[in-house]
Order: sequence, then structure tokens, then C-alpha cells
Amino acid sequence: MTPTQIYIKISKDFTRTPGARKMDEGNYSGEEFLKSVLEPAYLQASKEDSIVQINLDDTEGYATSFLEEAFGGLARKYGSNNVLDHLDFVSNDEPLLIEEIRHYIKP
Amino acid sequence: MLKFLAKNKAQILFFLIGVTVGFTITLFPLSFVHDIDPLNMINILVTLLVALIVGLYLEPKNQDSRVEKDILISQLNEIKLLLREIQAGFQDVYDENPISEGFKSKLRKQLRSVSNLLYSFDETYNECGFSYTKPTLTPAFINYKRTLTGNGFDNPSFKYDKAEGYYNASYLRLLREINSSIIKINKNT
Repeated sequence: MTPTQIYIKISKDFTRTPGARKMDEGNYSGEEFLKSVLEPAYLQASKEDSIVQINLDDTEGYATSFLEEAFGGLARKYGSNNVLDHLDFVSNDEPLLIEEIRHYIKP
Repeated sequence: MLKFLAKNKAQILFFLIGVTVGFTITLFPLSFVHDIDPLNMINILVTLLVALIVGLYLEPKNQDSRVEKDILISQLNEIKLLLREIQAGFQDVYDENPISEGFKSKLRKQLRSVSNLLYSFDETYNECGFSYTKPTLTPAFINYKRTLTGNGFDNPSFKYDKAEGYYNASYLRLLREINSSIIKINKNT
């Protein structure tokens, strides 16, 4: 049975205005995204040996702190290689974001 | 046919001059030695061959390379211009406590523009097929973006710490990488 791919579009499934690093700094933080959206999806993909495809388009932009907290945080908890094996990215608005995120996952 | 004539007008002109001189040379008060020296003939033929290679192959190739270099250099200059705008805006808000949401929104958009210009530069470089190793500016840019928008940037009370010199240091490092890339591209053959 082919494992299903999990799709996340941040602008639709979380927010169009990604915020700060920690939840106590404001709404739609990287920490909130990690806990409520990214980590559950990653765990499901990890269990089913499938991929989480994350679409980064149609937001107002991402601060370093948001990206580092969300994706760097996931890598610190589960390991860089494991995370890279189960995440895939789409970013037509800003293609270099993908390289930036990979840099936070595996510095 | 017209395109060929337009593209090779210099070569055609010199050919016609050569033919005209060849047919009219006897009208001039000149005397020629009638013995044909084989070495001179070889010399003439080799000179003609070199002229053809330079004119039809090397010179156009050199022109194509120059066009590619100019495009890449202009892209890097555009990035430098945008970075200069970002630095100017950043200097303006240095005293603000906290910095405004309007500035933050503008900065995010400007950084996104720089990111996309760098991506465009990468794509263009790949098309040029230079033998020289492609400049990698992304790490310096990521570091620059991190110094400006890391450390609680989206916190409503965020302000830039005037005592910290790393904002300027990361900008200068990125600028140095870009200038170095421009020099290397210009020298590349």
C-alpha cells in the first residue's frame, strides 16, 4: 500500500502572518506552529514512512526566528537526518527559503 | 540572405576591397617579382587562416562571454543597491523603541526581494556554463537576515540594540562576498 503524502500549506492551515519565535511573544509563533501543526504531521509521516509536503507560499513572509524555532526545533527533537527524510518543501514565492530552512534543520 | 549580409558586412567589405585591389593592381606604377616564394605563400595562407578563426569563431565567442558576464554583474549590482536601501532603513529605526510594525513588514518584503534576486542570479549563472565555481552567496545572506530578523524580531516590544555591532558586520561580510564574486566573474575566461 502506497503511503499517503501529508500536505500542509502554512497560509491556509496555520496563518498568513507567521509571527515570533515563542508562544509568549505573540500569536502564530514558530513554537505554536511546531506544536499544533508540524510535529503531529511529522510524527504521522514518520510512522507511515511517508513525506510531509510543506507549502510556504502566500504568506507575508517568514522571520528567521519563526523558521528556526519551528524547523530547527523539530530537528533538535527528532534528529536532522530523520526530519530531512520526511519533509519536502514548496516555495514559489521565495525559492531560497527552502535552502534557508534546510540550513536551520542541519546547520 | 539579408541577415547574413548584415551580420558579416565587415568581412564582405574587406573581401570586396581585396578583389578590387587584385584586379586593379596592374594600373599602379608598381613592379613585381614574378617568382613565387613558397614560404611567402604559406605565410599568407596561415595569416588568412588565423584571421578567419579569430573573426568567425573567437571574437563572437568572446562577445557572448562578455554579455553573460555583464548580465550577472548587473544582477549582483541590483542586489547591492537593495541591500544599501535596507541598511539605510535600518539606520533610520536604530533609535526607535520599539520599532514599528510598518518597518518590520517593509523589511520582510525587502529581504524576500533580495532572496529572489539571489535565486535569479543562481539560475542565470547555471545557464552561462562558466568553468569557474559558482559563487555561493546564500550562507552570507542567511546570516545577514538572521541578524536583522532573529532574536525576537516579531515580538511587539522588539528594538535593535545599539551596542551590538554585528548588524553592520554581517552586512559588510555579505557585501564583501558580492564584490568578490563580481571580480571573479569579470576575470573568468
